Order: sequence, then structure tokens, then C-alpha cells
Amino acid sequence: MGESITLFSEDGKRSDGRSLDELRPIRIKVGVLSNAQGSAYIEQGRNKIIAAVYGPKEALPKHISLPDRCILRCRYHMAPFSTTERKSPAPSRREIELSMVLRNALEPLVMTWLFPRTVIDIFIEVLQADGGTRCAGLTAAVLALADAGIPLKGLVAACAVGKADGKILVDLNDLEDKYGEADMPVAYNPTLDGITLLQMDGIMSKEEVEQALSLAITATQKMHKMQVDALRERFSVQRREV
Amino acid sequence: MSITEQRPVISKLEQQELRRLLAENKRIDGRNPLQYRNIRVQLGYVEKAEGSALVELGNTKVLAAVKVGIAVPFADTPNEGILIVNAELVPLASPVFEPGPPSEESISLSRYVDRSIRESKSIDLSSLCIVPGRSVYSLYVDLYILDYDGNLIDASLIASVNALGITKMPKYVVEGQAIKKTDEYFKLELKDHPVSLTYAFLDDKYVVDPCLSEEYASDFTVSMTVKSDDRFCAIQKNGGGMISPRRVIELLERSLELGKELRTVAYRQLTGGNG
Amino acid sequence: MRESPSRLVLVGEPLATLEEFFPGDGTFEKDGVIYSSRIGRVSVDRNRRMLEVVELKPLLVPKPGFKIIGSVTGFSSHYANVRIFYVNGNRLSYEYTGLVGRESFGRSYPRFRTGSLRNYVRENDLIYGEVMSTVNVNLIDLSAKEYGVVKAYCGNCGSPLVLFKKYLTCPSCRTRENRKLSVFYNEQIERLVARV
Repeated sequence: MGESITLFSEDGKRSDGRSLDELRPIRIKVGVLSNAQGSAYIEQGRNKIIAAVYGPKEALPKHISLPDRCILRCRYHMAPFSTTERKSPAPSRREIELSMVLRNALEPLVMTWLFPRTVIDIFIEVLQADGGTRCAGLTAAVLALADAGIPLKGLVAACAVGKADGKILVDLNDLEDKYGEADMPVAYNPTLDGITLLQMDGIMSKEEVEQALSLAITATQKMHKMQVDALRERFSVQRREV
Repeated sequence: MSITEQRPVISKLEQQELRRLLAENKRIDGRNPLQYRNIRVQLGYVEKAEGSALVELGNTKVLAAVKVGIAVPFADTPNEGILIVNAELVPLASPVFEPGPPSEESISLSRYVDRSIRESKSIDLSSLCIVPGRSVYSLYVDLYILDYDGNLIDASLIASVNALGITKMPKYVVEGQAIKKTDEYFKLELKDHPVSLTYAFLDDKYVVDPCLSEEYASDFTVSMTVKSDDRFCAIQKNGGGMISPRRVIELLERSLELGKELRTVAYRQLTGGNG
Repeated sequence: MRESPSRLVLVGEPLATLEEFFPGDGTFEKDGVIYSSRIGRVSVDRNRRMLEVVELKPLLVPKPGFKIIGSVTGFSSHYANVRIFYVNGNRLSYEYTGLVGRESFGRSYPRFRTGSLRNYVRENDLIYGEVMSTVNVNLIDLSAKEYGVVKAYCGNCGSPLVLFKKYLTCPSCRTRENRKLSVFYNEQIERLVARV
């Protein structure tokens, strides 16, 4: 079981050669789909995730609409081939929960009161999963919202932190997620000093949670820079076209 | 797809009142912000279940019942028993509960309770193996929400742990290929007594153990589960809104303080009154 | 005085302080600092001391003053339902619904002030108008002379009506009908879109 898996090499490096506070290689591209109002693609380690945004559009049927703001609909979904064993395409309990958690993480950013009686659809499709999909998916989804031109109070970047073999580490991969002691996904916006997504499972002392939290904040700030670069790349290209 | 929830319109007046009171560190039901409602635990409420507990947290009523059976273990854990938590938001408990497939709220609730029990290692699942790879005990914890007045998470975890704490396990004997149930029972060993603490945030203030109107008026809630050894085994922010890291750390401290007291009260009958 | 939009800003980028400007469209304020809420270009109105971020691609959500093209899908008590599929010259990938009622015609057509709403618009008609209100519903203004029906269909047999000596006539069943016509009646939709 857990004992037979080695998460750290003798020189203290992680299974994929990273140091404790090192993120996996990340590649982000904004504006990857032609039909969606906004879209973004992220690769983080071996994760490959696309996020797309449609709307704001009229909320139908009428009874789901709210008179004073727009509503958000969010679907987090893993492709059947995204995991080692085939995953049934029907939404699992985990996917249903994560769809809600991600919607809750995005909702405080969207200026919903500007578009009463409308709905914004957010789709997060995991093409390949390698641990930390909800965070990578959220990082992409925020960019898809920004790409769609939907007014936001800012971006959030999300990153899982956790504990494995007694060490606090950042951006857990699949192996560390499965055999580590704790996993804590965090989404953070530095300007607003706000965490919009916070979950934890596994065992950590108060001090360890605090330490993990500060690692998460540093990591999300790094990721925030990558998000900004990806947006700049997208829109500076567009400017040349005009 | 997860869709923005439509909360019942709790009147603007009531919302204002809640916030006004909170500014003076008071609450609508007279509690102080860090006070739990009264907890009543009735053990063994359902005789047909191997373990059960009815928990009342103020007006919130949750019945947890454990059914024990045998099952084929999951392929990746051939030596471990199976624990499954399921929550039913029974329509009779509230006008906002509707019959039909489990809502995301009920899934999220049962998954949080599941994580709290599993990660705290309250149950040693490896002790629930009968024949490795072939036959293990299955524990189904079914949560029945009977009356809904807020804070289902904390009440549900208390009910589940209490129910598991009195669960009697039928003994099985292996006779060749067959596995037979005997008339003997042994007690399920409970290794930990985790408690969850839920905080509801209204603007920049927060209250512990929100009642329904506080929950509806709140921007979001944060739940934290603390083990007996003061370590955390589950945390979850529910609902929109943002929380600052400083606030999270404050909640961690609060949870350690409040957790001890809550554990003593919630599991008094299991631990024989001395926590 | 308004300076032309200049540099590209991204979501959440700090732009100025409240002492310098008021936060306008596409911005928000937190702790005295004005931030951008969308990707776009900064535009400054020095007279009103207003800072705005002009969007790069418009969000096609109906707002008062937006020009729309739609078709009439049916009637409900005092209103005609409209499916809007062009907003400000942009084809919508998801359609909005709107309403046309008596108030849509203002005072410009006194000769139609009596009788049924069907004297103004009918099922399947293509209309060109302006959003007059978005409170609760998208109400469409058809009163100006460029607004109104741009293509009408016979209420009897469904054929397109032709405008002959100021009268709308059905070429197949010879019935005559009334509409609140736009001066652009029978114009190609592409040309109409180009006008917006």
C-alpha cells in the first residue's frame, strides 16, 4: 500500500523531480474555441483541461432566472479517457460536488448584478487528469470568463497544496494526491485578498494548514502572472489584427 | 450542471435585523456568536439498524442509521471494509427539499461527512476484512434529515459518529467457500471522535452553528472537522463569497477551542460522560 | 472632452485612485483604488472625471438604445412576442426574447391607435427596432420611421407581402393588410445590418 510507494527520492526531490514548493510546468492559452464566447486551455503537468463560457444569455426556462442578477451554471466533467481506468461519462457524485464547488469559487468574482435575468454557462472539461484538476480547471475557467468579456472583480488562480511523507508541498501530482496525507485546494486573489475556493481532506495540524496556506498563496501569485501573460498574448495578437 | 441556488427570500427586514444584532455580537435566537444550540442525542433510535442515533441541534433533526453487510471489496483496497455515507434530504423536513435524485447539496453533505469519518480514521477499515479480496464488511451510513433549521453538516457528523459508536457487527464464519452469519456480535471500534464546526459569514462577521435564517442570510459558510488529537481532517468553504487567509487561520484557532467543548457534549453517551 | 481609448488593460488591473477619477463602466473600486473589471482600453472623460474601460468585444446583452432585428413569434394578451437575433448589427448565437406592445408605437401612428395590435405587427414578421426598456422584459420601440416591420407575411396564406402603392398586398390571395412599416421595408437583412 502507501508504504511501497516512494514519493521522495533520496536527495529529497519529489517523484517528478520537483522541489517542495515547485509548480509543475504550466502552459495556458486563451481563446481556443471558435463557438464559445470565451475559452481557455491549460496544461499543468499532465493535466489537459479546456474551459468554455457561453453567455450571458437569456435564462430559460423563466423560473430559473433572478430579477436582480444573472445566474451561473457550471459543469465540471471528466472525459471517459481522462483516467487510467475508463470513467463512465455519466456525472459522478464527485463531479456533481466539484461543479458546485467551482461555481461557488467563480460566483464571487462575476459582477452578476449587471445582467439581470440572464445565465452564464461555464463548462470545464478534463481531457486528461493528473491530480489537481479542479484547481487547473478553475484557473482556466476564470480566463474563459475574462476572455468572454464578462466583468469580473479580478482573476483567481487555484493550486492544491498538501502533505506527503510529513512534508508540506505545493501542486500535488496524481501520486502525491493518492498516497499523500492531505490535499488542500485553494483559489486566491491577491488584490482582493480573498480565497474563493477552500477544501481540505487528509490530516494536518493547525500549524501545517497555516504553512500550506502560505505556500498556496505564493503559488497562486506565480500562477496569476501566467494567467496575465496568457491574456496579454491573446489580446495583443487581436490588437494587431484590428 | 450546478446552478446558482435560489434561496427563499428571507425578508430584507430579517436580514437587516440579523446584521444589526451581529454588530452588537448578538443573534436572533439569543445566542452569542460562538455558541452552539442545545444538542440532544438519542442512541439506538432505530432497532433494525445495527447502529443509529437521532441528533437534535436546536430544531435541526438528523437521524443516522448504520446498516452492516458483507460485500466484495474495491479492487484497489482488497483488504479494507467499505464505508458509504448517503444523505437524504427528506421532503417532509423542509419546503425546499424536493423528492427525486440526490441534490448537489445532499451529495456535498454526505461527501463531507464521509471525508470527516474516513480521513480521521475513526474506523479502521482494514479491521473489517473477512476474506482478503473476496469478502469484507460494508458499513452504510444513511443520514435522514428530518427537520431542517440550518447547519446540517455538524449535526450529521455528530449523528453518524454516534451511530457508528454503538454499531454492533454480526460475526461471520468462513466455511470453505461459503461465508455464514452467526448469532454473535462484536462492537465496532471507534478510533476517534471527530467534530465538525460550521461558521456562517455575514459581511465581515461570523457565527458558529448557524440556524436556517442565518444560513440563508449568509454569504458563505466554512466547515472544519477536528479530530480528538486537535488535528484537522476536513475543511470546506460552501457558497460564494471570499475569505481572507487571516480569517481562515482565525477559524482554525476557534475550531480548536470550540471543538473540545462540542466533542464532550456531542459524544457524552459514547465516552461515558468524561470526554 | 473624452480622450480616445488607449492602452490595453486586463481584468483586475489597478488604473487610478478615487482622488483622480470616478469609477465608470468596466471598472470597480476597492479601498480607494479603481480597478479594471474587463479586458479593454482605458478611456478618460476629463470633464466628468470619469474613467472607463471600453470593452474589446461587446457583450450582446440587450440594453436600452440597442438596435435589434427580430421576428414575431406570437401574441399573448396585449403583447406580441419577439425573438431577437441581431443586436447592434451582431448576429446572436443565443437569442433573446422581447415584447412589442402599444407603447412600442408611441404617438407616431395615430391612425393605428384603435383596433388590434395585429394592425401593427403579425406572426412571422421581421422587425427592426430599438430596445426601450429592459426592466423585467425587453420592450422594443418601433415608433421611429426607420423602425417597424421590414418584412411581412400574409396572415391568411403566409406568403411574403409586397408593398404596392402604399398598401401591403398578398400576391397570392390578394388580401390587404396593415402594418407599422419601417422605411426600410423589404430591404435585405444584410444591408439592414450594415446600417446599424
